[in-house]
Amino acid sequence: MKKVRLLSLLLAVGIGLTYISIGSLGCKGRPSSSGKDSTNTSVTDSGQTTLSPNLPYDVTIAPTDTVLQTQIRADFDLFSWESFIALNWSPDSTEIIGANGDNATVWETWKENAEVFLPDGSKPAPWNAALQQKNKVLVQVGKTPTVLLTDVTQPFLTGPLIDQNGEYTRFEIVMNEKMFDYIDNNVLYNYQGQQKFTDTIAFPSGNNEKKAHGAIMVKASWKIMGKGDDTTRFHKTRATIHVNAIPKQGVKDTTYTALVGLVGLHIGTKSQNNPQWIWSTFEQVDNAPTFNAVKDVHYNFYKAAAGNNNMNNAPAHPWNPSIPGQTPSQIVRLTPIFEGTQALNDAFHKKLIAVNPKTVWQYYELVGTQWPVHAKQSATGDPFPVYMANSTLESYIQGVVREGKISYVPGVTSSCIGCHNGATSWSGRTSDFTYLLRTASAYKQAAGNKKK
Amino acid sequence: MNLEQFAALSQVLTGYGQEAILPKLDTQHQAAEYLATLYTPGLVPVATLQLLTDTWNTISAMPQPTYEMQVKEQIMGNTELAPVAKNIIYMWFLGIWYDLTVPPGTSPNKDFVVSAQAYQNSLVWDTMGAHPMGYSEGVFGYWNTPPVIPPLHPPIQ
Repeated sequence: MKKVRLLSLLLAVGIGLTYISIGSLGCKGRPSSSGKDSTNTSVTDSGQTTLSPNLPYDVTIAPTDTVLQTQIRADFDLFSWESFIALNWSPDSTEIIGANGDNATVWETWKENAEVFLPDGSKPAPWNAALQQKNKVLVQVGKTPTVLLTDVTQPFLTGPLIDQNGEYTRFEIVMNEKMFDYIDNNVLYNYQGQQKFTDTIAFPSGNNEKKAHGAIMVKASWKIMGKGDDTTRFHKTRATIHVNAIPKQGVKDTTYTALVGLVGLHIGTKSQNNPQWIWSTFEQVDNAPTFNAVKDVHYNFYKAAAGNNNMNNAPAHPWNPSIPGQTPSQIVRLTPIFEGTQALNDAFHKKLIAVNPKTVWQYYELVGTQWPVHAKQSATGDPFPVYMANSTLESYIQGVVREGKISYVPGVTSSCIGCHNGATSWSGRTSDFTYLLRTASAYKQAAGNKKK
Repeated sequence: MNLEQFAALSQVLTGYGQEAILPKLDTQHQAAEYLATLYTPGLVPVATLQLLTDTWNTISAMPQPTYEMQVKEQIMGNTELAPVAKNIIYMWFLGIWYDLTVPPGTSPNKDFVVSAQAYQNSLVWDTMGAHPMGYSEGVFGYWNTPPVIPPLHPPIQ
């Protein structure tokens, strides 16, 4: 066998590599649960769907589940929905999710990125979920344009997302207590601490056997409620919207309050069986049509009359959220939601509606779940699905359409694990699939206080 | 030729085992893509594809230890089948389909990279302990350590 392989390689290298100049060749595109406890507030039926405030720890694939595309995928999608339900449960657990239509949520009591990585690099305030139930501030206050651009734009700085009312979409990132504690205990909240930390950064993992949760981070996208928006279809909150001044770009320092509606939600869960994390992504159902399946309805980020000439393209510069009435983004979901995932969406929607027909949570759908299929095979662990994108969080890197066909580009088209595998701390070492550590500042001693 | 037949033949031709060619949990569908390429109208005469299928079916009915020898004699030793078999090897190792009507690599206008993913998944990178130019799944900083030539994959099952 070794001989055959060597022969094949020599054949290939000897003849083929001479001509492997990709630029000179035509390139054919191709279409290319969890452990949990039950509580009195849980709502269960005879099927898989359960409304419970208990976060799942990890995914353990049932021995009978052997088909990747359907059975195993369903295990992970169920984990995603259970996570979504638990994270959007009322923080005090006294009422079932959506019982009153809308409700405060657990994840919004978690620490925001800016509360952990302080501008002066000092130690963050201790975890206190009660105190963290505060007014939401969207777009972190910062002194440099980089801060503004980092906070209001999407991964890879591909550009802001503008809704049908010409308003910029806003983003925030929060982490759970396990993740916060790891950062806090290891002084990873500032530049110097990260430099001194010589161990491999490894956030706690969720574990079904130990009934232990691991690190969880949530990234959310919000749109400002305005003309044309049916506010009964959104999880809403009042937020302080802040724009940092960038004089060179004509961006003025602006602060105001607005009613915002949740349009996108990423949930990243570190787990024992999935060291590359489990990546779940949800969207508000009115965000955007699926490619070639536009319906005659109101979309948050698409207008049929605008055509597709500027589809999934970032807005033209200059980017200035202060200017009212800007040209809206024209966003289309390139990869349809998998039919099995959609069936699970329908099942959970029915369960939510049974609690309250007016629940806002019926208007959120799981777009997909990405996980490492062969976790030990490589650093990325052979993620599946290979590509996955949230139309509000990876609007412009969903893939490309050429001659009516969708094509995906490895290393460019959105893949949660593929991208986050490149995350590092300020020490230049891998940071366990989170870019958050890079937002840490250097610790600056306060005047008159030379001791840390 | 169906996917399983193609995967079994590909194992003999490449020296790579089942998990590399057609994994039980297949995220990439690389074998399926190469098989579809092989059957793209106009690339290989239908009669030749049928002969390849029939020949492989004959070989695969023999004891497994004889596969290599039989492929060498009946496929690589057959002037009609050998170019097609070599092209299958090229696809697996380089992600490229070479025009069968001329010597490999002399018809750049008709040769093509099967897909971006095929280029990324080319076995040549694994064989060299390297990664495709412009794409890596290594841990950040992997370039600071010498490349590791991976051990041979498990033999054909």
